[in-house]
Amino acid sequence: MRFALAGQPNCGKSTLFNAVAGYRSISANFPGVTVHYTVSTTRVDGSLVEVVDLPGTYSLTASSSAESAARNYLLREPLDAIIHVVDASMLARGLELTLQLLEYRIPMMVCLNMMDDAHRKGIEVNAQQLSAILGVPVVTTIATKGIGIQQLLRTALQVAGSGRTPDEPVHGHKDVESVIAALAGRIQGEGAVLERLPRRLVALKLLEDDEQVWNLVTESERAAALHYRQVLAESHGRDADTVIHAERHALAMSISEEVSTLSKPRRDFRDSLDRVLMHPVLGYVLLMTILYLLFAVVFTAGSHLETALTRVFTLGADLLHETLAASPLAFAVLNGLLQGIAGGVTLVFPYLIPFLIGLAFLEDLGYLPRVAFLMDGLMHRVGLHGTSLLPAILGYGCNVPAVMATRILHAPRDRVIAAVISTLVPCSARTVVILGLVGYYLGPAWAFGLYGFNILVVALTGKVMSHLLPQLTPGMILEIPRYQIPSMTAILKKTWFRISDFVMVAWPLLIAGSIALAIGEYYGLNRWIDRAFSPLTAGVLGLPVVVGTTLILGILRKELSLLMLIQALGTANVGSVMSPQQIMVFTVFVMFYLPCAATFGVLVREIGTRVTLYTAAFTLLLATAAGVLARVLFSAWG
Amino acid sequence: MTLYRKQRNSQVRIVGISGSKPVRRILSDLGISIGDLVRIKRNAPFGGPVLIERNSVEVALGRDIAECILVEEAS
Repeated sequence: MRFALAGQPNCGKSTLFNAVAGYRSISANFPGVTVHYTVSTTRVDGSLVEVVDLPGTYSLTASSSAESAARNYLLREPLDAIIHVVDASMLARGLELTLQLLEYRIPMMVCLNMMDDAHRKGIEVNAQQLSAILGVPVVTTIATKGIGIQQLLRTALQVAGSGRTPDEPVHGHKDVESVIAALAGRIQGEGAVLERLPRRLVALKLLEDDEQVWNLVTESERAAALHYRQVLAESHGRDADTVIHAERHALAMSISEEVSTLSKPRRDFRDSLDRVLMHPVLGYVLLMTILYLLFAVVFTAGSHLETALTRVFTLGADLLHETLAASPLAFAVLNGLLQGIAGGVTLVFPYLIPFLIGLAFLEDLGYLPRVAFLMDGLMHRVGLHGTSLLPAILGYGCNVPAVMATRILHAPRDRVIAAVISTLVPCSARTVVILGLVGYYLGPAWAFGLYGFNILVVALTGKVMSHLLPQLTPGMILEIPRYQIPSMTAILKKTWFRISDFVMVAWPLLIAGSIALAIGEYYGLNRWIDRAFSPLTAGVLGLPVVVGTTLILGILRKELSLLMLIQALGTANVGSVMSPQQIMVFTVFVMFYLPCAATFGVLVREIGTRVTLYTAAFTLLLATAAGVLARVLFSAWG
Repeated sequence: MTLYRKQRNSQVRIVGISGSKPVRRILSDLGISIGDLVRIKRNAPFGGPVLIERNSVEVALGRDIAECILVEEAS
């Protein structure tokens, strides 16, 4: 059995998915978070069910890649049932998608979610009436509280089991309907994809000027489509696709009005929150404050933990040295192991965990789109849109989801610029290096300053890129979601989910790399690599020669840059071997050079191999230039 | 007149959208079409977007998009 969860962004679909399938899907209160689909297999009432969380889409007219992904899934993959999730407090808009989904004639049910929000807004929806009008079962839920989930799953199983497709879709005005029916009558529907689609759906898509379906039909079907488009255009005075959209829009509104009763909304603090957070003056002040607070909390918590934990591991290292003084190879390997473990515990976790918690809090609150709103005007000075800020902010956590989030931008040119910028922003791995090196040895003010410098470089890059790609792209069209009070469990679960990527993938890699480096050093291999890179490392940047292998390994995972550095220098106390100037140069270089291996992968997928290679070359040059600049400016420290 | 820089809390009716087809499509997906009544919630400084509200859905529209949307006063 396979169910698909479909719905508009921010309807609580991913929360529902997590409630059903276990925490597998990242949910957050801003549009475009789920840009690919997640699958999970789970047991429902004894049956094994595959649940697919489709990307949130406002409609199925394929205007963005998230929508194409959802559409393609519905067109090509066999499904037993669609669970269509609708935000009960935005019924009119949600129904536009409902009406489109019904056309696919796949067994379907509607989940009216966020009933608590609707209630607070004074909106009461008659689920039975809605079900009668749409011809499919309607279940009410509050996904965040787990209310109605059992009922939902039982209904879904019934729907899938019965295999009953929705009745003839709800009809609009007679004149438009007759045109649709006439065109549907002319559709032969041959071919692997077309033969599985309802004729009416094909007709609708052709009238809507859908490129994908156009490419699938025959010449005579195309001629018919053009004829009927003309008919509609003439009788309504507007393009055929506009007519279809307007029909659907009107239908959605009338159904919503019919089944909802409105009463006085209950005001709560959330409505007044925006008066302050989006205020033309206070809004910016608070934005700076919030960002500074985030930084302060992460740094304070992190550095205390780092100090405490480093002490523990230094003791461990000393103990190891004593006991294994006789067998240097064994010592090398075990020390490598210890350093690898130590790296994760003393450096990554103290900074990563507070940061991810802070980010998750802001995400779930719904604050991030408001940041885009405040910054859009200013960002135009550097040739970017405010929406590009959202992937960039995610980049501070990890570049991989940041690059994927660029799909919320509609124009390819915007996506490329946003993707490049997201990789320049220091991800949490690089934050580990910045805070663990510069912050720890040179002081927090310098670390904060580095973030500021990074923003300047990012802004400059954005400006340069928008001059190189001067296309005029349409501006921001961003939904500002309502504030949600973040739940601590959701935040912790989400943080764990993101950390588990580190624990499962990066940490073992770290340990393996650490051991490899230790062995390499023992057999003198590293010296060759270091020598090869010494013109860059020692010559241009003035860093210790051993840094060569560290930087190579750093391409795998950025945390490795610091952890391998400690390994290469032979001591956790970096400050005793490198001067403040060298620490600064090293950190600046690491902050910019080359995306990590995982990011490379997503970049190739999102912006193509050629552009990715250009980007890589650019970051290398940028890192070297910035490193030299740092070397020159801080020569007094050297 | 356009949707850009209208007064806070004023209500307007959309009478025309002069943007490109993709833009019109995205707007209609978000529930913003000709004939709709929207309320101006606030304008961002520095030439930034306008926040409009319709049926309790809030959407931020960048300046150039807002300038494509023709409106008339409504009470």
